[in-house]
Amino acid sequence: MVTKQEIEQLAILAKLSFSEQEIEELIVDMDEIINFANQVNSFSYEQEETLDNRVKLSELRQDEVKESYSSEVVTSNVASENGFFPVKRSNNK
Amino acid sequence: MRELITSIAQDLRAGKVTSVELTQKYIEQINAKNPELNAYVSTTFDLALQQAKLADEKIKSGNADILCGIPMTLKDNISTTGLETTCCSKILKGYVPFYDATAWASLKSKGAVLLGKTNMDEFAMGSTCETSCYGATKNPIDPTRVPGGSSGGGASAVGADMAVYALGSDTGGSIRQPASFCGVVGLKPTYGAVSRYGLIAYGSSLDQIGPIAHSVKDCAIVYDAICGKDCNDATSIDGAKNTANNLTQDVKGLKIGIVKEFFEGLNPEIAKPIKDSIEFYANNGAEIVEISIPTLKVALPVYYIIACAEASSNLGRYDGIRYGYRVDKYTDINDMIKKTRTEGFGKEVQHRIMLGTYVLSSGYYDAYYKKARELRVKICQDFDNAFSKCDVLIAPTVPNTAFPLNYTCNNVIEMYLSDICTVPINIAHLPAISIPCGKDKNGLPIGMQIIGNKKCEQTILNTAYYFEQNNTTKN
Repeated sequence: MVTKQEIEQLAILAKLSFSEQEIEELIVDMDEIINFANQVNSFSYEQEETLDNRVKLSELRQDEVKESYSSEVVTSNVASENGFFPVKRSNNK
Repeated sequence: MRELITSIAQDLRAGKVTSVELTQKYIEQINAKNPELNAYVSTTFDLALQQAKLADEKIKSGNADILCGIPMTLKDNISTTGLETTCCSKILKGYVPFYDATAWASLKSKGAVLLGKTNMDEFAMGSTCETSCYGATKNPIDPTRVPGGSSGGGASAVGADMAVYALGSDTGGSIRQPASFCGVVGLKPTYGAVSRYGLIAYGSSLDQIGPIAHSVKDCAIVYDAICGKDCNDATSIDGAKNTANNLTQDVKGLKIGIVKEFFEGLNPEIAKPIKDSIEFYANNGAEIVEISIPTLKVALPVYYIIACAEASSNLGRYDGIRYGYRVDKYTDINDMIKKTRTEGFGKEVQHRIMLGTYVLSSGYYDAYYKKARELRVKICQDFDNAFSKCDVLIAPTVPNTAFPLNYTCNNVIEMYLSDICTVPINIAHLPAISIPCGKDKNGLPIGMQIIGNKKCEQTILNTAYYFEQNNTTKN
């Protein structure tokens, strides 16, 4: 069974936060999903070959220096300051 | 069945209608129906009319692609320069890409007319199109029911004649399932056949862009326009091409595999039209082969482990720093990131991120993620084995028809179970098409799925085309 401590640790890793009630609900949901996922451990089969990623990358393009997007374009989705992404140290008004 | 693209292209060239007139008609249709169906989350009518005007000039010059001037739509996880692309998530509200997805760029270069962006489950995580931050989309056949997901907006738009065709994305069935629920045709190409550059990622080893349209030929035409190797996507391949011009109508000698695991426990109301369709093929010269793929029993948990693991990594980039939503109040940058993600992601997305983080975490990685990847190899081998005995497989697309809006599942897993026929195809990187083959007692469409080996889009399109053109009993 997933523990509250595990949920809290996972939340830290996932950069999410949950209320106490949400954690209780998540314990129930995660337990169901993990029990469901555990089928992979109870299924028996013969592993004939070594692990093969199966996603074959096609020929990679040459590592050449090319024109890229300007900093104005890259920062166009925020109110950029001098080409930087501004994040105040604290905005706790 | 309506071969809209071909007939519209003919009318445009014959001068019976202009692209501007056609686009205006679709705009009127969207204005009339979208308030109820909520298929579109944003519309681009001014742009569409400009594109239509240019398309009319190109058509007059005699140098236009078949898709030139035809009004269409894109799922809101496909990047469009200058147009908001949100994945129907609060965390991406306001995000405007500065590049086009390759698939969209291909269609744009051929003169496609973009009517707007369609609704979807948030970050493509869902099967009902109800987890969108813009609210649920409704099924055009019965608006008390879901259109399916996650490409529910596109399927609903096509089904309600609010677009000639749509581009969706399919990670675990998200083109095929809504196509089945809305009574239209949906094609998921071989993994890599269509570039994923510009498709906002959910599960990178599973995602694939594909068309939703009213007919097999329309899907083939759109697929031909968007397929091909792309230097911006290292997983893209040179797959099947020029399928629309090579559609044949002959199934004599075609070996059709029936995978028994897809039919175990299947609702008889769903099974009947599928079995009737198989009989139709057999009566017309196809050979039916019984196949068993025991690893299908674990395909769903394998899918959810791999998809959620990849999603937890892919969605790590959403932190409020460079684009999208950012909370107003925070104590430091880590607090800002945590609060932005907590407020920005919906519940289903958060759950899948948490599951993905769990299966990748120390102590659980071997038991879940590594094991799932090993089983994935086994599932792929089993499909390879199946295709050594047959040319295509036939299965239901979904074990049920469209469920009611706000349907409350007894538990979390119940909703996942409806993906049981579609996710194995994504796991094995195969192409598959869903076509309507019947209706249930409530008049809701039932979809049949035709699955092919890798790069065998032509074979599945031909098989589907034959059924569509010759089966008179499917309704």
